[in-house]
Amino acid sequence: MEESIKTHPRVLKILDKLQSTPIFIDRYDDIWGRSKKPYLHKRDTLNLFLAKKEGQLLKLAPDAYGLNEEPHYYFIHAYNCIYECQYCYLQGYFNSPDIVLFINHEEIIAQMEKTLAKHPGKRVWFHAGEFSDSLALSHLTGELLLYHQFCQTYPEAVIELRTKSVNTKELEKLSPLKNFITSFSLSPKEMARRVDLKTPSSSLRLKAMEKLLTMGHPIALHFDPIIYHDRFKEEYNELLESMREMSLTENLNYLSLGVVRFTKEVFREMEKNYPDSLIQTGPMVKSFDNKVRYHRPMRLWMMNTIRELSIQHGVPKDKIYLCMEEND
Amino acid sequence: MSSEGSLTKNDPPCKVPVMYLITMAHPGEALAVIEKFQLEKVEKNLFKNEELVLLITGEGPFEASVRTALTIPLFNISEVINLGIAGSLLDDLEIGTLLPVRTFYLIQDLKPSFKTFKSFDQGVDCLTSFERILDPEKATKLKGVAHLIDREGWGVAMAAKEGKLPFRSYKMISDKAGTSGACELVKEDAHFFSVKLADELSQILLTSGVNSPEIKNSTITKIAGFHFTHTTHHKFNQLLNKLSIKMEKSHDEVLKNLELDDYLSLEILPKDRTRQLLQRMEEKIDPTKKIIDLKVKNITNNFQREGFKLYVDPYLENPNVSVSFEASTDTELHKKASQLLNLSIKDFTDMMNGEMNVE
Repeated sequence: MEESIKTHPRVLKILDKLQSTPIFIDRYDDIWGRSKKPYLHKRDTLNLFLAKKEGQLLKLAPDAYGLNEEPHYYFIHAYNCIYECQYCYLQGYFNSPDIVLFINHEEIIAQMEKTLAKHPGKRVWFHAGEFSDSLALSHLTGELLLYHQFCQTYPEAVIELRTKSVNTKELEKLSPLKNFITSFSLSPKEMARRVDLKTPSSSLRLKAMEKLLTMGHPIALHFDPIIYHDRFKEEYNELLESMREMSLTENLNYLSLGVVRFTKEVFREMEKNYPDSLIQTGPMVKSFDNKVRYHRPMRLWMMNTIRELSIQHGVPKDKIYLCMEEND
Repeated sequence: MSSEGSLTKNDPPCKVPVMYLITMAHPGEALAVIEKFQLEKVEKNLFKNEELVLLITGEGPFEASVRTALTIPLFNISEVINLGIAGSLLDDLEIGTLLPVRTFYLIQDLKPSFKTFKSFDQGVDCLTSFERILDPEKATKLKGVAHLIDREGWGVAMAAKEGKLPFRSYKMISDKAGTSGACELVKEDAHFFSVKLADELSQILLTSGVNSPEIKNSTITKIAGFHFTHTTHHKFNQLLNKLSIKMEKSHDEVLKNLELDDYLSLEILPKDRTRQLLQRMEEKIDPTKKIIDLKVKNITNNFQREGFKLYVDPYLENPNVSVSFEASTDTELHKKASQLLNLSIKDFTDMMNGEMNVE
């Protein structure tokens, strides 16, 4: 823990919940990421850093990040994740899998306010969960209320909480706001079993979505990454069928579709960490943006297939967007 | 003229024995190893017998790295093994226990350096420090980085890596890092640790099988009725492995699933059987392959019939096609242009946009 934040009320709460003795350091990045800690060491020697985020607190999101032309930003509330998805880009992104929780959320929110002022009259999106799951540790971190209040004050802002978690307790304490959206990443159960290691099962995630929807919270969905295997079509069909039965498909704020893709570095890291992964069996090539993906006809066929299935199961056409793919 | 005892072109090359390089930081730790393995002194801090070379590296990662790097080329080293004592950064590690090291980190002024080196897949992590850590506060700050702390391992690992040699390390817990009297305690117990390390080394070498490098099976796959070249053999193994992962079945089960008998009943050459088998395996990996191959073949033939050459991106990324033809007069050119009006690339474009009927 950084010495400078040891009396911060949010830090004291975290320590109280964790019931462990912290080691004090000057700056988290004096230790974290300074040496190349192998990704899979997270399985037995995962450290938690509590720190104050310096520098850029908000970043402009890449193209094709969202439903429309509105400005999209992501905010950095944490680094790394408790889950272990085989395709996760974090395995090749940081030099350490150790988790960092940033506690200066007030400063992040101040940055959001400044950003809103730069886009008068426009709806501006702020995404959480780019570098860490946004709900998995929310019972410890206790920052959701702050962001919720921000959305109440600024209806032109939209916050998206991206998650694979079913840890919705903190969210359930808050009143539903249409601009405070929880989006779940979901795969069919067989696929999740094989590649989403240490995550809640698909059926549990569906139940969490259903619960939030019943409470009036807006929800969204990411079918991302879509991974090929022989029964992928049947499995998505079954998943969408379950979603329709829960009234989820017609009530999604949006559905993003993305076929599995990697930067060269992450692909290499994945090959090393998961040599027996199903992901490695597909016909991967270096694509238009130098990312490693299935060849174009295959990935667009997969995307079209899931898009059609989603529409058939009641997802409105205009709520579907293709993530990180060419616009054609 | 060749005299007796000199090596000529026809003499078998002299066999230099393959040896392990054992590195230890302190002479005190190494004493029992020297005695047990009856090592002879080669020079200061360097000992050997027929199977082992023992190097006393001294303390400090740079010293260890330089001395190891200088020693490696002197012998026919097959592997570098770092063995020695280390201080524990955790409370629950028992003194006298020998542990395999998973990763070595380097620390300077209490800050880790970027490079890390792997020893085993599983084990404990060890920090190599430039300084002795005698202050409990300093030791506490390092707790999150690793389990153990030593003075040489990272340097030895670096030299082994640069020398492209396999490397492994075992550490015996000698004390709790950050306790002020640790050095004295370790000195007092030096003989005890040395004897234990020598015994452990004996076990390590016994299970390693000195001078018995693994012989890799490089025989070409033999399946009756099929003919494999080196290239097709490599491709077959790659596909078999992918299918095995995909189907979560053993290689034998995958082969059974491929129904090889169907291919054997075909009256074709064994190499053609192999080609068909590989094609089938590829289709199982990529269900779009058959459709794509057929569509590309059709469109290429359509253009060829009219005297055009059509090129598509072999990696199927670029949706554009290139068309070329030859003309020597305006009349020919205009004729070709009008012929082009009757040709279509729609099928190809649709396919590139994912419009395919894949079952």
